[in-house]
Amino acid sequence: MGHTVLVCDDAIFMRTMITDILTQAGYEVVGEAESGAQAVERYRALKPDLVTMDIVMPDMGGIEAVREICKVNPEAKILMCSAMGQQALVVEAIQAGAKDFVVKPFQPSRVLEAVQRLLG
Amino acid sequence: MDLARYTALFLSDSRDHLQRCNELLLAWERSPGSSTPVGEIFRAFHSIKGSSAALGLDPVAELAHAAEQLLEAIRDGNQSAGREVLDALFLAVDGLEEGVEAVGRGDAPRAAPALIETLRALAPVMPSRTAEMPVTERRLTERPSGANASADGSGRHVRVDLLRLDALVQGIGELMVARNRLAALADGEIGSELEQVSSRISGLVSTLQSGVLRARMAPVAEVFQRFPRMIRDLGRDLGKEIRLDLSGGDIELDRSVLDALGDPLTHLLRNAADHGLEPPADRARAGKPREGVIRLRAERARDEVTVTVADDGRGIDRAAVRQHAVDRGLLEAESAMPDAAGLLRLLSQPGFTMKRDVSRVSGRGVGVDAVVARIRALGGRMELKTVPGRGTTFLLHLPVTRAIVRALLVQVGDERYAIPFGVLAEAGVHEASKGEVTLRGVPVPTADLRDALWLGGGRSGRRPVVVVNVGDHRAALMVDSLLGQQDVVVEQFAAPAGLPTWVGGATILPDGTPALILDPAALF
Repeated sequence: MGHTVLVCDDAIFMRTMITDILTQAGYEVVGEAESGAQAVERYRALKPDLVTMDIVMPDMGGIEAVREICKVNPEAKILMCSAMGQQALVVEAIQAGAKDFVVKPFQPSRVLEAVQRLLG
Repeated sequence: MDLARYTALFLSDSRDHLQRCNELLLAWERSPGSSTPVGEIFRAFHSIKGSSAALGLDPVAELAHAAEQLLEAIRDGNQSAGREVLDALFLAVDGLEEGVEAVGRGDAPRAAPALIETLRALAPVMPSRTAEMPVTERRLTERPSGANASADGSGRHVRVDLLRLDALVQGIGELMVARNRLAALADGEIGSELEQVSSRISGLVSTLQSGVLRARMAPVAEVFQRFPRMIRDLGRDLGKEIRLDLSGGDIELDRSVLDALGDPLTHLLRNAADHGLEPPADRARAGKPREGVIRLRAERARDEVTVTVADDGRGIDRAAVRQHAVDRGLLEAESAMPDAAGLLRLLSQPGFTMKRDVSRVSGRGVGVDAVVARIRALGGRMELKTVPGRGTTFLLHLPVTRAIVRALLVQVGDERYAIPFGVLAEAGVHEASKGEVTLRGVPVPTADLRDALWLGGGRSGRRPVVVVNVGDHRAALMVDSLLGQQDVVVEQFAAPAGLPTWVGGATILPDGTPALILDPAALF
């Protein structure tokens, strides 16, 4: 059975792109979230194997969402998706509990590599 | 990856974001002290940066990045939102819009090094400090209507390509033609099973038709929302203080009407700002507030939507327009001062431009003919009200849809013609003498369709007459016979050159023959 993924990004463009990449590789995208708050709520509800998380989102940013999700499940596998020039934030996200990151604009192969590594 | 699909997403997303940016920047500019929308604008730029970079549209991504950094500087207190900064942000939105629209046309977006330099110069960058936007930022309570509304969860929406809806309307149009033919067959067999099935199908098709037409409706806000920015820029260019009041943005119109409405409204608003409103000093001298007001309003009335463009400026100088018309041989030198309808008729004469010579005095007149022509082409009509020193109001009466209209079928010569119910006042047989019809004792402007069609032989005596509303007035159309009512599907067609202006479209009748749809207003 394919692993389940929750895709969090406020841009529908990015959600579509990540969902396509993952679906084509056989993963099951079980949900999407367009804000940090939604990400936490959907994580609780869906218990996905992996979360991809944007950093800049309305309502609650990605880093805050990582913290909240890690309170629910310290073992949560979260892959940060950051834009160029957010290195400092990526470090903060990793400290908050994210397990890896990819930088936008990303290559599909780079995303899949990171996902595979996380899901072992 | 499916490039076309991503590009389409990029386009619709970015357009929404940029529109929202314009709204937020305008609100910000009006009340600089309020809780600033830095976070939301930042995210919009950020989102455009991300998707454009993913598509390899580097010029767009770079510009978005530079704009994003300026907002960061503001948020971090390294820059304040002064006039220079807001102007730069407006320019950034424009630049991004250009880039996005270039992509929409299939062109490569152009780099904007000068603009990026401007943005950079305003943003003292501290490269190590790129931080997340504050997470507690308050959301603005007012949401843009339309596409973004779904983000609230207040309604679930699907984006549908208009071409698909057009195909549906086309299909339903053909279904209606078939239904009408079936009804014609069943007519001879009252009470039969065929007649029962036929009437059941009629009901179902009508339901289906109104459902599809509803799906094509969109709020006029989609057109209105671009104007606050335009008026702001115009005000600056013209050195005038202008407030634009919008209302009725939630009123819905058929997509095709809506799409064709942007240009005429732009035209009228520009005229109002440029020629209608006086410079602040003149207004002050006349005892008016320095700030001129332009109102743009949409209202629904029966099966019409009325869009009003009103300014509180100087009003149209009737005498100047009249003189201009006399000079051009459109009016007799001794003719009376035109009333509002007459004024509009003069202004809508093709090429009746008062640009150089009279526009300063007249206050108006630039290209109103083009606007009238467009509104007529949409199956609508225009009305004008103007009071010297008080202002000018244009009313645009528009059909809610132009895909399917209920029409009265008439016969003239060997041909049948459809007259839309929207303009219809009454129909009946009336006495005509000397080419004029008298309605309840009052003679009304009359046109004989036989003359209009060069058939000749317009007969006097009792004639079938269709009475139509033309502006504030009634007018009579003499025909050969009245055939009955029919829902007709308006076929969009490029009018062949030389076709009279009173032909508003074409349709296919139940028996499969084509008929022209009349626009009676153009006959008077």
